[in-house]
Amino acid sequence: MKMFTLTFITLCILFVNTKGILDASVKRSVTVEQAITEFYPDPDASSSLIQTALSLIKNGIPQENVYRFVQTAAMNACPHEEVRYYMDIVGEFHKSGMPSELVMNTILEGIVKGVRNEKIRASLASTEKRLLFCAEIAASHAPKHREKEKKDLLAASLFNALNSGFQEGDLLLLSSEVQTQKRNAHYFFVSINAMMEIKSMGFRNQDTVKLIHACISNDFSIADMKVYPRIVANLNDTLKKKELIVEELITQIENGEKPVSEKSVTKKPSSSSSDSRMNRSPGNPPKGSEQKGGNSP
Amino acid sequence: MRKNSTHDTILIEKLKNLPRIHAPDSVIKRLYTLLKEGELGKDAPSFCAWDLIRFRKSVFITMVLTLVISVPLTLFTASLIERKNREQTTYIVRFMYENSEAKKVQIIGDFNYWSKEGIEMRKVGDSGLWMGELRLKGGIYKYIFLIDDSAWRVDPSSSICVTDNFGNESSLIVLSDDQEEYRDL
Repeated sequence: MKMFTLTFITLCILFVNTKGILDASVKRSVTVEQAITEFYPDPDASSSLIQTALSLIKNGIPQENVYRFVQTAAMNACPHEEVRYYMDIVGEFHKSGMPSELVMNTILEGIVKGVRNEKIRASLASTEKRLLFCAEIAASHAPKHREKEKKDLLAASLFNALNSGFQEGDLLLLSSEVQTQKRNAHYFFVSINAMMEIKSMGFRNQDTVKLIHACISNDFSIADMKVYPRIVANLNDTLKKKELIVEELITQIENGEKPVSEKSVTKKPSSSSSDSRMNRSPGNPPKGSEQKGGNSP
Repeated sequence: MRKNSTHDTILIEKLKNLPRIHAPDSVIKRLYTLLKEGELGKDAPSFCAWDLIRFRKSVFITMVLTLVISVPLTLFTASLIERKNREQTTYIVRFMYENSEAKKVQIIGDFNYWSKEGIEMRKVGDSGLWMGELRLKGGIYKYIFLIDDSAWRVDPSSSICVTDNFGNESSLIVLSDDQEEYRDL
């Protein structure tokens, strides 16, 4: 009986720890140390990089992210001093509570596009300022600890908007309007993306902000906001002046006209975003232009 | 009082006649008195868990087994629930790019840490059309097409183009979790 009990307990403990044991064995197979030694064979270079990488991991940055960062940097012939400097910066950003993955990707994007290291270094100061601003706004919309993912996503979206030329004042204006309308962080996220989509059509920043502001203040839902860039695209294709289009749209919004195409939808299939993209290619233009083609004489 | 004494006599007689008790009258009287005064059992050793463990091995083993089974099961179930909560919708995104001169086209971006060991697009026939498919979790991703390992281009069919920190353009894809979206409506 005793033997049976002991065997049973041992089996249960093994069962509980199996996942941990398996994970550990996989992780041990390719460690960051091994990878860095492989990418940077010079012992001095690799030892300093390993030290920095391990401190990043110790501070809570996932091992895989560190590994991928070093890998991409090494594949683009980035000198080890630069990689170490960037990793230090990433560590500092992470300590300040900013999304480290976003910083890593920003640096890697520069490296891959062949931007000079000096320029990347110089841009990091403004990146820090922008990220801090975005993180603060995002935190005001998603203050709860469990909303971290939402917060990071919103911060990334705001960061992209700032990089695209929108001013901090623009984002603050929209943020305060979203809060006045008592809308959640996801609503703000969708609004920012709609704004960037409209801007990508060639509209001026101030016009785009004005339009999105009007949408928020006139109680557009998330579905309305998602479909709105397509409506703007339809008008955009009529070759009117963009300022006139914006004025016309704002008048429509203020008169209570809302997009109707998806208003009645209660629940969309989970892959709606991908579906809309899946049909898009140079040979298969977006829905908006298709409609326009059909309507034009 | 009189009634009580008659009752006592009857009780004593009954106790005396019980087949299993073989004891003198004095002992039975004493036992009766103790029972009546509630003295019996006062000095009895108190029951404790250790006695259960010591003397009732089967109960003890059952308790241990129950704990051993229930604790891992609870932990396992909790981890499953947590994993399910964390699970996000996976999107299958198809990218298309037209370039008849390219020999190799890759998609690189935030989703693969801009690694050149990225996702190679395959050529569709001789049309010069390249196609690639990715499985992505909800989020926003910047990406570009890398042509022949050297030049890079933004996606002409992308609805959002953003400028990076260094003044260059990138395409942006936004995959938002609809369940989340509609929950808040």
